[in-house]
Amino acid sequence: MKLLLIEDVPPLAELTREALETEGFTVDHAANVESARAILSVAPPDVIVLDLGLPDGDGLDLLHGLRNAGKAIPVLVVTARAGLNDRIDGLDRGADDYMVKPAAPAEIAARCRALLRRPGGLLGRKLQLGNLAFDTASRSVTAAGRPLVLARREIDVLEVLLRKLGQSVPRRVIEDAIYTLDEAPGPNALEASVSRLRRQLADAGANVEIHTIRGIGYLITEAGGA
Amino acid sequence: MSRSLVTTLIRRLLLAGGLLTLLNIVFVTAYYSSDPEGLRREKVSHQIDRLAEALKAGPDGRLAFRPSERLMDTFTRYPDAYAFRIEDHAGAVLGEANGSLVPAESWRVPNGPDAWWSDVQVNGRSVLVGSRRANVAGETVRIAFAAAGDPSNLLLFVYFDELFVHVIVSLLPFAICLMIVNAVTVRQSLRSLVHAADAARKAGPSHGIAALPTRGLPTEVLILVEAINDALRRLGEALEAERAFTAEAAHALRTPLAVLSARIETLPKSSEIDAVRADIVALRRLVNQLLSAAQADTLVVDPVRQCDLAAVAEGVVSAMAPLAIREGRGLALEGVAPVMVRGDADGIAHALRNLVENALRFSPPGEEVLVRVTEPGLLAVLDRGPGIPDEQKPLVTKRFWRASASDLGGTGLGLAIVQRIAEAHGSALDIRDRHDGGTVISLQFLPASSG
Repeated sequence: MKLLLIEDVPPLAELTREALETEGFTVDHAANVESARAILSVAPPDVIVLDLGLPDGDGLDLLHGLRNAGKAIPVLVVTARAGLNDRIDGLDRGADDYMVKPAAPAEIAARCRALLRRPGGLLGRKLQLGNLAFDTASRSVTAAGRPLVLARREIDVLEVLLRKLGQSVPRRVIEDAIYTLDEAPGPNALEASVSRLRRQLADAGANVEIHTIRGIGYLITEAGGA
Repeated sequence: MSRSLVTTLIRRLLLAGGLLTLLNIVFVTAYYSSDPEGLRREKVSHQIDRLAEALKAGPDGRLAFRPSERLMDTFTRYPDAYAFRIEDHAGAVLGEANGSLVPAESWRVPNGPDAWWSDVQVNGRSVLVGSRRANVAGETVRIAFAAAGDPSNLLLFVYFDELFVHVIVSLLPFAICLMIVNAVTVRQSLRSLVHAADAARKAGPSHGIAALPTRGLPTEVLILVEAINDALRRLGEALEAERAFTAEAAHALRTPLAVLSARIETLPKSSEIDAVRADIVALRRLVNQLLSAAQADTLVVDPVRQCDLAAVAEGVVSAMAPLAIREGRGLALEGVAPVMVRGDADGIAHALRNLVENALRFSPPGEEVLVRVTEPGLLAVLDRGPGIPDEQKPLVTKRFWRASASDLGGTGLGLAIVQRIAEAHGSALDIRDRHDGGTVISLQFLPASSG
């Protein structure tokens, strides 16, 4: 995966670059807006890690220009200037995710992978969590290497949860994704699907856990809370 | 306790008016006391006036004396003190009472001057006799009045009569008019000042620093208001500078921390490195909380800004649920429906994050932290922690306060930040014991619909 790291502080850029390369990314580095634009024009990356405070301009303007040009490259904003209001600012202007410095390189890598896992993202074909694997093309699931046969609804629920790995997924987002407009789900239909999915995953020995967040929705993690 | 300037001025002017009226009464009293002889003469004259009023022309054109009972009362009650005698131009008696009080000759001075008075000694008593010629219905009459002593206090009556004429009739309407004019003038003159005060009152804690209006202010007040506006402007600049400094400090502190954090990751894994990593996490948290505290201090909530409390809560619970699960606790939201309040969504979200973090830290593993949003504009976080003793409840919002020295998880800033954000919304942190164990911390916001 090709990653463009836009960061102006030399030691931080160097250390982050090394860490991201260890995580398996191919990293290009730009220390200012100008060189970032140059790299974007000749070698567009798969994902961008963007520091907002740059010596020759504001990272948000760069992001804005990118979105205006119709480029949908996922962008993870990393900034030291987080205030009570900056966060919304960044997301409103086209950032896909947001982190406040100091962010551990491992976490930056994890977030980038999450961005790439989104529908349309390059990692979207194969979703993996613990010993559970989900192939989005064939819609087949394996647990501990053995195929797992699930009903269509349960597969849909599992896909939505895995695509939003590490995040709470609101129940209406899941419902929107698994029911068509004609299928008005009953009040407990989703609960029933999740409950069946949990039982089947446990029976198959998958080391994942689906947590209920009352009032919000569901969240999938590797079992043992990791 | 401060009083309204308008009220004070009007009250003082009324007091001054009242005092002047009183002074006038004292003055009139002193004037008449200094001239007892004049007052006595006035008494006689007054009685003669009253007797003259009782003279009416009859149907035959002749004068007749028809006194009222009230007039005669004085003479019937004190026969040896008061007397009168009325004669027409021919000397015929038209009316008389107690005529024997003075010797007959004392009454008769038919050709004397128009008015006279004298003291006559009768049986060792001094009797004042006064007489006056009067013209009633074309007839000339002479009315005489005599008084030995003053058992009926006629003198006092005369005095009050004088007082009535000189103070009540002439001065009081004028004084009342003057007081009304005073009150209206004071109100009118200070109206611009009252408007300026209203503008200042509206500029509450959440309304930021706005200059007071100077239009229509009198010079003396204008100087004061301009001085205040100047001070406000400098205060605003200082606040802006502090905000800018906070942002710069955030950058200056976080960047080296990020470098340190990244460098640690390159070192080979060991228990020492894990300890250093944990220290960096704590340091990062402290830096973030310090910056949050500084930002919360300068938070100004636009009074027209509104947000959906339920949406804010949903966002925060959603975002923090992974953290709660990682730490083996539950997190739940109750009461999801639009609850529109006046407030800053980012500020409220920040406050709620701090409350949830706090609740998660003090909750036993396996327990659930509950965020509840209810009408009208109430946001509450309920935990199953050990609870906060009553004597500590007022202390927890103090900066750097911790329940115990061993409480290393927190920075001691979380609830102080929440309190400050609550204040910026005109609210306050409410801490109560949960009835079945734990703590309920709630924030009340103003519903968006009100005003």
